[in-house]
Amino acid sequence: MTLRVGIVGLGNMGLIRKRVLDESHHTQVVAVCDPTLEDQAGREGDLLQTTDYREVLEQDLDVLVACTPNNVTAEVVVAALERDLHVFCEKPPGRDLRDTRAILDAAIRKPKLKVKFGFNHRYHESVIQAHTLVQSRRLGKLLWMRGVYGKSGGIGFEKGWRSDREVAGGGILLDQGIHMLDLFRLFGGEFDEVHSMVTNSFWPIEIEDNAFALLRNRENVVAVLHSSSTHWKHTFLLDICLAEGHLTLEGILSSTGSYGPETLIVARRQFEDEAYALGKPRQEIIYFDTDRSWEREIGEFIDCILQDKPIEVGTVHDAWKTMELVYMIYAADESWRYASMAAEELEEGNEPFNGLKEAP
Amino acid sequence: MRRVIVSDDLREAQIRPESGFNSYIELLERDFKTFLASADLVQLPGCPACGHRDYQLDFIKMGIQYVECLRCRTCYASPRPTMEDLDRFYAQSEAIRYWNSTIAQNTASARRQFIFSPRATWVIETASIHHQDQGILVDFYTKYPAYIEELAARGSFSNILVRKPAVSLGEVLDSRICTEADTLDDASVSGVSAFEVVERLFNPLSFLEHVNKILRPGGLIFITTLSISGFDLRLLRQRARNLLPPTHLTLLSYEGIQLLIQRSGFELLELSTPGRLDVALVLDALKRDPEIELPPVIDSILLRRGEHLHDAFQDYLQRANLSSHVWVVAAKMPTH
Repeated sequence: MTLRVGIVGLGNMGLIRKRVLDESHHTQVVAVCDPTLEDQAGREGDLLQTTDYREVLEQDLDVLVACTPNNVTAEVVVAALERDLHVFCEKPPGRDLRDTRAILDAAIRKPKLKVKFGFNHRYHESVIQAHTLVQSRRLGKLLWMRGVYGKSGGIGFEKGWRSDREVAGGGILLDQGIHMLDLFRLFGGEFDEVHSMVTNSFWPIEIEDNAFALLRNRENVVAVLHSSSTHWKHTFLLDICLAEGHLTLEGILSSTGSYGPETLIVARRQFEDEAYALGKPRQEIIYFDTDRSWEREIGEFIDCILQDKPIEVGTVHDAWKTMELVYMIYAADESWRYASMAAEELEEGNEPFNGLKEAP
Repeated sequence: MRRVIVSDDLREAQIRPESGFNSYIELLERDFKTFLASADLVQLPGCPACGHRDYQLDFIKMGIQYVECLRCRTCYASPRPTMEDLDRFYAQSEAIRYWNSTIAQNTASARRQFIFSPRATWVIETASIHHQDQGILVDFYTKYPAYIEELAARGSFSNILVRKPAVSLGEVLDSRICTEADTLDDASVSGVSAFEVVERLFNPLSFLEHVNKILRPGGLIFITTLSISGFDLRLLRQRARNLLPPTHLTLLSYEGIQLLIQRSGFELLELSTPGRLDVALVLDALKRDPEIELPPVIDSILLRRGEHLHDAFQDYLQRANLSSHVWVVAAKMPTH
């Protein structure tokens, strides 16, 4: 069976998703939508190109892929679900918890449809191998994590849609730090104690350019996050400390290669006595040369549709809990100018989603 | 594909102490000379790695001619002793007995710490990532009981089998840590380890094809070997003290490894060169033979810019897959 797919949003992410879908034997992209297609609007062979997402939804589709700016994500995804389409939605799941809630309401009304969110980092080889190690318990129980995810804004950063509060909803934490929060949840489960400092210290924008957070879960695992758009060298770093060793995920393969090579450092605890210092404790650095994350992620989504299997990664529950964590971090810094709004959102959002784990 | 680089405190003397290794080489030269006088040598029809027929003479060591494949640059002995003769040599050689009874025993603790324990971890963790850690693991031509013990201690794999062990396994077998297998059914095995095996076989391709047959689809083979593309062997060739016939008949090149793996129906998952001794081995060779000429840039790095560069350069060799100590993980392809 070939699934007919429409894509809304053909920015960087949309183009990556389209490439993977074009390469799959199980999908055919039949319609795409993006404001930049104004000059090419119309039909090119079997492909409809348009600037209006509603035209995409009017096609005979099975799947809708949403790679939109955050302010239209909820509208597009909800409309797709109402048309009984399976949906793959790029992260973040909207600008704020209200958007996410609208998506989740729609998803709950259509329990037979598959809805998956693009928390792509879980499909990177370093993350998969680190997760296997942690799950095996061969390195003992998880003690703490420290994640740094930073980028340099670059020329014109302040003028892009990601820097516009009305469009994006939040700053670097919502845009990029959300991946690290998703990984914290992957390794450490749910965190319910949150302290933070959220700042806007460099870029002339209304949203944060740095977020520092200290999280703790019920098993006393502590996670420290620094999410930044003033990290002048692009950086991805996740330290995972376990009772019998530690893992460091450093660098992540990306289309530009700007986050460096993707590596996983594995080291085992080798001494007990404080006075005995080892010269050079053994460690292994594993380099990963190819990025198959996009193919794995979309492949799994397609497989879930074709085999009618439940989505297990990037579920509506994952989307809600991760988004909730973003807003808990905003709300935990009383000096952050949007903290009170974030707190209101949390207040509003929590009640209707009790029992969300039972949702599709 | 992934590659691993390793850092630790390993020094050559810990696993090959000077005086013991000298005695081993002397014994081996004597044994091998006697062996060659009565052995049948067979010319190979092509490169054992890629099958290409064209080659050029590389060097002669202990009476054995090594040639270089003009396609993949694998260095191999041809003509070489048959497998039957090689089996006879290993069974009768005093040098091999000396290695197992003296050097291996005297360095057992360091070998366990730096070699066998990490290898067991490597095998189990990689098998776990690829969901192959619950079935049967077979170690071919077992030379290292400590590796088998380390493997068993970690509690993975339903069963550990040894096939054609090269040494007496004594207590390891007696205490039922592993079992010796006379035959192996097709598609019955999850993992195979073959450490320092490929280089000593008469025909590495047929060995890998046999392994492919007994592995389940997706099953893994773990190989360690010496590569001629590595820094020390590339520079030293026949002067490398650790390159010795008949234990090193095929020195696969980096490219040759990939071709051999592909030809035998595997998908390469890892090709790492986590060696820590290339620089030390070249420095040692220079001490013994000051006439060895180094390329100017290597001369600067090793001899003129201070010892602090040695570790950094060894790290670089690993990172660039230029160390001679090679780790390979490959998976049986489902269609093969």
